[in-house]
Amino acid sequence: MESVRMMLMPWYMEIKFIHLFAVMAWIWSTSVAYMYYLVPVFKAWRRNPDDIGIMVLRDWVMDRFDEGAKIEHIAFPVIMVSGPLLYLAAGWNTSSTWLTLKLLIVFGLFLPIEFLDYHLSHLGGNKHAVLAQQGPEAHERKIRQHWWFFLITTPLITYFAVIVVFLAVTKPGLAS
Amino acid sequence: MNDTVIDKAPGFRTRPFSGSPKHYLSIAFAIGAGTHVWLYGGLFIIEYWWHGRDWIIGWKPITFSLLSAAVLTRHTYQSIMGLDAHRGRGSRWQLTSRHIKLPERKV
Repeated sequence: MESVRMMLMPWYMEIKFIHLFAVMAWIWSTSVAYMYYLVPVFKAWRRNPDDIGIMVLRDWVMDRFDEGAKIEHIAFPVIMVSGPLLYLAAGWNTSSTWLTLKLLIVFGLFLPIEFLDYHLSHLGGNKHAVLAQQGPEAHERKIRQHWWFFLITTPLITYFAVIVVFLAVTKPGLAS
Repeated sequence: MNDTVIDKAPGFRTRPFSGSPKHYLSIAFAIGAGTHVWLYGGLFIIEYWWHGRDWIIGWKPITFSLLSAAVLTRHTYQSIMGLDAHRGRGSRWQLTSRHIKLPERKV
């Protein structure tokens, strides 16, 4: 482990740059599409659940959002690789309480959320593929599953993403 | 899909969404409590059991965890209720009827 650390140490700042860049992309890449396209159209659908025109628009926005999530979902694995490399390069360990808390949030909350997000956006839950392969009824089911996902994960992400960035930047001495 | 004129949505599309304010309140409590049990529990195991540091059982981290859980519970409930159009913002949007064609990828 020490030899790995020695190998990575000269590259610490470069790895940190990649890590921060990926974190920015992960946090912000879908925010405009989410706030100003997806949420308004889903709210319109929830207020007018029988309006076929709104459903067509909702399906289109959802399809575009699945595509747009690619940036976020390329950034996330970069974070998950560069993060441990930073951990090794800097010689961090579990005695840094702020880092322990951050890792509990990332691995315990963000990682499961992202696994589900990959499924819903690109794998078995991809709306474009579901519509083509399983028909409109399965497509409608997946749209609703994805809406449930957004309802539940939005407050979690907005709350804990701020905390994670705060912990990473300020590195507070929690144990004092 | 865009050139197709649909007068009436099929039944599976107009089926009511399964979420309700009661559901959302239960979810908010589960998220507020669950996340903080995970975080405090994880820190307790690593700090107290592993490193033998007793600051984690002091009144400050316990009070902070309880407060944070309460804030997250409220934030979750407000967020879900707002997103799902039960309350809050959204009144500045209006519905305008238009005939359009939406660009879509080929299947």
